[in-house]
Amino acid sequence: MNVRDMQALVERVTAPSAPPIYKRLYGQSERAIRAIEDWHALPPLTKEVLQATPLRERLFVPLRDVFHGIYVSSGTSGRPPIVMPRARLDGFGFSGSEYGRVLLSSMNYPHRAEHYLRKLGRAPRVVALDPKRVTPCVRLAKAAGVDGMYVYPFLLPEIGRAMQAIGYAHNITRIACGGEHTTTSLLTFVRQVFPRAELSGNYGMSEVEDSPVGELCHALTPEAPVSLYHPKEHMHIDLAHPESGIHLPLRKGSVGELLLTSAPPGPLALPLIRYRTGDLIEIVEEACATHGKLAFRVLGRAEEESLKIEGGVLLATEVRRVLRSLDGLLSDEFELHHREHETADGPRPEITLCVERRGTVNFAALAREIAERLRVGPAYTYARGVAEGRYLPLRCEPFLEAGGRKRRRLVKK
Amino acid sequence: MTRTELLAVLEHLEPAIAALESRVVPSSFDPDDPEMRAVPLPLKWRWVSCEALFAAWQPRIVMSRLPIFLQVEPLLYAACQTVGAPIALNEPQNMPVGRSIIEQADVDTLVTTVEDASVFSAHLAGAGAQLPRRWLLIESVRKPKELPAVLKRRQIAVAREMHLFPGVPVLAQCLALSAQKKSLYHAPAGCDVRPGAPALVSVEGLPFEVRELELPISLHHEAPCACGREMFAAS
Repeated sequence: MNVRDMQALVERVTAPSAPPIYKRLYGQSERAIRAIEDWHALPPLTKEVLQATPLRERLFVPLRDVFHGIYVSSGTSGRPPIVMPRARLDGFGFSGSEYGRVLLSSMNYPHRAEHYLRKLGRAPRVVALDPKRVTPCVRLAKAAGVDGMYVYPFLLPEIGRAMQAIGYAHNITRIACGGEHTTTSLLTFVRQVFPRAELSGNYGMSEVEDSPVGELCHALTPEAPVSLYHPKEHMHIDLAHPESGIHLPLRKGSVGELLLTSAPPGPLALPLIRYRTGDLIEIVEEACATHGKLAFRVLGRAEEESLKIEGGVLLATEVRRVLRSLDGLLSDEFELHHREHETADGPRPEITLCVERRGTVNFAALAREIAERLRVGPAYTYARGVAEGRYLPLRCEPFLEAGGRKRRRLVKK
Repeated sequence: MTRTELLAVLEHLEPAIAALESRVVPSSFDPDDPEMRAVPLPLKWRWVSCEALFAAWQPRIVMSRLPIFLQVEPLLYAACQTVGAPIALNEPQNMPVGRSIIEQADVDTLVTTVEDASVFSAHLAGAGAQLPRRWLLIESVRKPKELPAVLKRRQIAVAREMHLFPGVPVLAQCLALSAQKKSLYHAPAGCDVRPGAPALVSVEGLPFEVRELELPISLHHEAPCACGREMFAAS
């Protein structure tokens, strides 16, 4: 975007006929964007603003034009979910080769996957993957003749096991991953279990109507596992210090919170302007050697309040609740380390919880107690996941001194 | 035709499904059903009874709590599109999020299973939350269960459907019946229902024959419905 585009966008969202969300955010004074500094001075749009703004005050199209559907941010950060209407059904710009002929999809809203196949001139043959019911969905996928998948990375081990059990994994030739970055161990597992599959992916988020946000620079392999993304067309990125909010340059090596502006042409339920995504990114290349485009990688969540694992989500608020329930044995300070441990059945989460004790503690017994209480999903505890073979047993260790650095609550390694 | 014979047909058909231009749905609402088979439906298959109901209800926003496993979301989305109603999806396990969606978006129409309706309506009532004014409940073909008390409130309309397979209704309710909330049904377009004990149904438009299939319920004729269509009482 150039400054003129920025000015036009701000005028659009603060027009007299526009809903009040941005007019309220920017104040009553007219916001003129004459230089890039004016743009950087605009207050960012935040999740808190979205949560506090009733839907009717942030809907830029009539309800009947919410053609795609109403998304919900999953609430994985422990806060109330945000309802996000989507007028646009499009967003994916892939050639379609990533999807195969018949698709097993965990894409939000199966009708969207069908739409993309129709756009590619193909029969809209999609089997929707229910994350809570992987095995029967895989059986349906086999019957349907699925040869491609669009799935979240953390589901791949379970899908792989289910497909291996029915002798179908070798039929998969395309795997597109969405939403999360992958690890070397996961990619190694994928190569072993799905030997014929090419792997691709994208970076998206439910708040962004024109999602995905980023497209992969190169195919994912165990040798090149780092997901490098280019901003998709009509996505403008800014970088901000996650605590001070100060603008950071898009220079190689810069690390900061991604502020996203997404306002493609056409009807939009909500143009996003400098939206604080909560994701930490690093600028890896200002112009990559292959495409000449800015390339970034996603480091994790700025607030580190949640980690997705197979079967659910680890929430910092939930860990704190469990620690507080232990009758003062521990403080509620903690650091949770998540690794993927390679097993014969694929990578499994390995969780180590570093805690601050207030007395004598048997850490092995403590770990078992915490696992029994720690909810990963509705009616699903970490202990149950261990019993079902999904996770390795929880470990507890005492805190080591942070050495002056800021403690991070959830750490993915 | 018995259900056992029907499942045998599906089992025989399953290896050929990949070569058909079709979508698939499960043969059962129960993901753990050991007899579950894949059921091919034409790509152009429509959930016509739902479309007819929505044409009468004119929903503002439809929220679905149907498990994704049932594979009916695209059919429901198409039905929503016929009346210009946005669709929102809520995982059945996540009732607090569902409640939040209803409140934030002012959802007026909910589609879910009969079992979930009982649990979710209790959750909403227990939280003092608003209930959507209209509920479409689907279930497999069986003796109808009593509606929970919360859904018997006069200001709430409840339409029920019995599906041979998810997305293939064989008994449905119209606008008038959704207000009455009794075990009275119509045969949807494309279905020929013969009352009796057991009732029989033939379904058109499937890539395999379903002719005079025995249903695990009894149906007998009632006086024609206010909408003018033939009506059956289920037991």
